[in-house]
Amino acid sequence: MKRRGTGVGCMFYGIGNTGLPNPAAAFVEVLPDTSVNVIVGAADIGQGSSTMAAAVAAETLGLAIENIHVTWADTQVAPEGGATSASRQTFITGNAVKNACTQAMGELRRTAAEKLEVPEEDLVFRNREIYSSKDETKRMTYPELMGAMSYRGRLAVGAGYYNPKTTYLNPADMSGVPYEVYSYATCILEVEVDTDTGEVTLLKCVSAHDVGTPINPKMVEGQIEGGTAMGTGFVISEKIDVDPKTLAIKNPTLSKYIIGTNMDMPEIYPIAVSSEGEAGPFGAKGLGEPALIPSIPATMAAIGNALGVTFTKTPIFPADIVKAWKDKQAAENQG
Amino acid sequence: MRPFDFYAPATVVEALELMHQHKENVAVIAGGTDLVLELNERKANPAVVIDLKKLKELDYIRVEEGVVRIGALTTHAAIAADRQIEKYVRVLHEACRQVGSPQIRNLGTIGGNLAQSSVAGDGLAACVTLDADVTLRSVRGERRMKLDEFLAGEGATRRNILAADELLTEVSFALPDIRHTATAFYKLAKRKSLAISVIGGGMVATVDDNGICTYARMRAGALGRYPMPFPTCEAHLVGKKLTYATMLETLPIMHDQVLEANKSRPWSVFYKKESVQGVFKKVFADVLHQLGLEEVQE
Repeated sequence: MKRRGTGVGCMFYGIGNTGLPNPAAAFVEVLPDTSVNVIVGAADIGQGSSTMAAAVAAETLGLAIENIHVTWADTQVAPEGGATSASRQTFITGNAVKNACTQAMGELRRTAAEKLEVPEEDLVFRNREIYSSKDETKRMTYPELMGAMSYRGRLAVGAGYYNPKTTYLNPADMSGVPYEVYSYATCILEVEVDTDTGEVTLLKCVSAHDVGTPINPKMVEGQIEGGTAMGTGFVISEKIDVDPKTLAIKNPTLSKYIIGTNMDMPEIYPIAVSSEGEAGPFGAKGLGEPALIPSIPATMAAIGNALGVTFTKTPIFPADIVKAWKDKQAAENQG
Repeated sequence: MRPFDFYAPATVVEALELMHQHKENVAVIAGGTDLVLELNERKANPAVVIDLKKLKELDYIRVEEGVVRIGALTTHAAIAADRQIEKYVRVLHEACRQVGSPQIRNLGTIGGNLAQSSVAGDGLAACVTLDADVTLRSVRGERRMKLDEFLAGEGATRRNILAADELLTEVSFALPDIRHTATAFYKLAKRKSLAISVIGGGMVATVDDNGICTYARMRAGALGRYPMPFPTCEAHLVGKKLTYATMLETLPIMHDQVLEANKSRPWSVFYKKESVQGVFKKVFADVLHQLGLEEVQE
């Protein structure tokens, strides 16, 4: 028999560990042709931290993302980036890039103020132009500014880093404020469960995430979709099978460790919810782990809802579903 | 992978000569979806590999005088895309449609699936359900037999009776008369694509003009070394009016049979004995739908 169920999973998740220092840095140089070299230590393992760094640099400098060249994780040239973990790189490396760009803009501001004869604090850098916020007729293009920089023998270089305000935790009971900002999310997921075979079909998933300011909306969607694939797989098909005697992993290949294919995925509706910025670069928060977390309880709850039983551990394999359903039928027949 | 000599003959006769000449340590490769893995993992260490891909004469699907003939080099993708197979032989269509992934279906062949005689081979389970014949050729001549006889091997080391210099060239079976006969297949697996069958259940059922079952054949792959037959279930159906209720009466028999056959594997037997019933419920519903006898709401 096929039964449908819906589950809801909610979460909040800390971004920017304040319990221990965990800084990251960035180097920036704006070159005479208005291209920019950004060097970060953050390892881009496909999540898009380099694209994020380029976007933050472009926004801060008032240039286009096409102007930014990111060198990442090359230990010969890159500064400390810390681990790509804990959903921290957008928050921490993003802030480091912003700080490095701000330093590089010191000479750019000085030079533009001289050329336009306006106070430095009135200057706006936007869309490859520099102008006065008080009098927008006083403006120059970025190539003109870089020409003026070359004429004066000035270089636009910056180094910056960011470390969340380390507050430490009370060593006696680990109380305190462990993170600088928090991400929030809710995932609603609908499934169809076959009670005879234990097969689970993921039907629809709506996953809404507070990301502060989305630095790149398409990548936010991609992260939510990828996270949903991981979270649902965590519940219905993935398990590291350890031999209790030898402690060897019995399924160390992707032919035996079952992750979902495209055909296993539900229709996913990712929603990026914007919120007040707080301490992230332009108000951005991390999404790496939040993308995956709420789909786990949502999937568990949906399967439970379909069967009218409560599951308390993952994974929930077809055999577990068949057994839970049979147990429930047996209990009802006795009652 | 160890070095080996590689031949790519252009004709079956040439291939058979080569196989006879090197039969001490020869492997043949068609799609290679099994052999390449075995070579890489050094489970197979042949001195000679004979590639069959140039033998276009073995790539065909023909219907002649009420018999469907499929050449051994026909890919799963080609069978799944064949309109006649889709309309008349659902069991084979469904099995081939769901083998592995598109890439595997484009390479893997029905002959390879049968000759490998894997425990979980979907093409094998479907062809055994159809009570198909296979044709084996060697320099000594040709022999033809039922797949059931072909599979009388010795289990793990020698899965079927294919000799070292013998080539499986064709599988054939009677074209079902779809006014009276329906065939169906359901693949139970751990995900919806790129998965090995946990159970691959197939059925052929024939009814007369009054809806009385005159023939039934049920087989399920991955429940034992070879596709498991359910003769008691079949006998239960023959002579009765084919209804969902009657078909459901076979499920306890199936349950007991799977439990008995798999009780040495306590970690998997619970799920197999229960889910095999779910698999066949879907197969039954499909058969009844195709015959226009009953629409089963799940």
